[in-house]
Amino acid sequence: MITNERQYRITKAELRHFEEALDPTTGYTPSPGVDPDMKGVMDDALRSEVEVLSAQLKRYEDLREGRVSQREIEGLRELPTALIEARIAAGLTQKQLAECLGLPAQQIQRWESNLYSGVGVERLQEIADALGMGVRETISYAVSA
Amino acid sequence: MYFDDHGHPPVFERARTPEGFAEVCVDPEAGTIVWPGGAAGCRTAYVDGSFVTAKEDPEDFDGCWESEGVSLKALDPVLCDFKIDLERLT
Repeated sequence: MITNERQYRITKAELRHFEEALDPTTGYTPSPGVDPDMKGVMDDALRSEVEVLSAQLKRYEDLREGRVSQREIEGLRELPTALIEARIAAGLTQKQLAECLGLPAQQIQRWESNLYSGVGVERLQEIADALGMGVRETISYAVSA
Repeated sequence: MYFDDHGHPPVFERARTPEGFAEVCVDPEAGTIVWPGGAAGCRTAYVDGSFVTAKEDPEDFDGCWESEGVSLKALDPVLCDFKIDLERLT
């Protein structure tokens, strides 16, 4: 997932490279030792990357432009993604959120890069509060018979 | 045929015997080597992405492989399947 402007710019540039590779005028020719049918497989791989990068760019743009106001999560595992998206939707950079919380400038970026792995519940709550993130979730219990 | 000190994958077991080695031939259409035992003949593969990080649950991995000399007929179809679940990605 794209979490900041730097990643957004890099992803856009990489997307162009993949698109150029697929364009017959700027594309590539497999080397002579490659099975002739392999070109189709290589093109499929490139198209798949184009699809992935385009979807990630669109999601980031939608969040940044305020076109996403909520996300349904299917488990606590998705909570970190929701926190990242909530920050982007709130128009805050990683550095700005870190400043809001009195944390070192790079701290949010570090946490986000490993999806808040190992960060305590209280801290997660503090971040959700700073982002004004509302959570209404139905949690199902495994009820004993 | 050269196998280094790290040994060789089981798929080359038959090609290491004189009878198996005699079966090695070239696919006339693809121009690639046909190995007894079904090896696709890929010489180099790289694995990257979360799979090689310290993430406890990598969920996926990225990889690429050298296509020169690879037999498409022998290649595991999963390596040519690029269907993706975009909803999961975003």
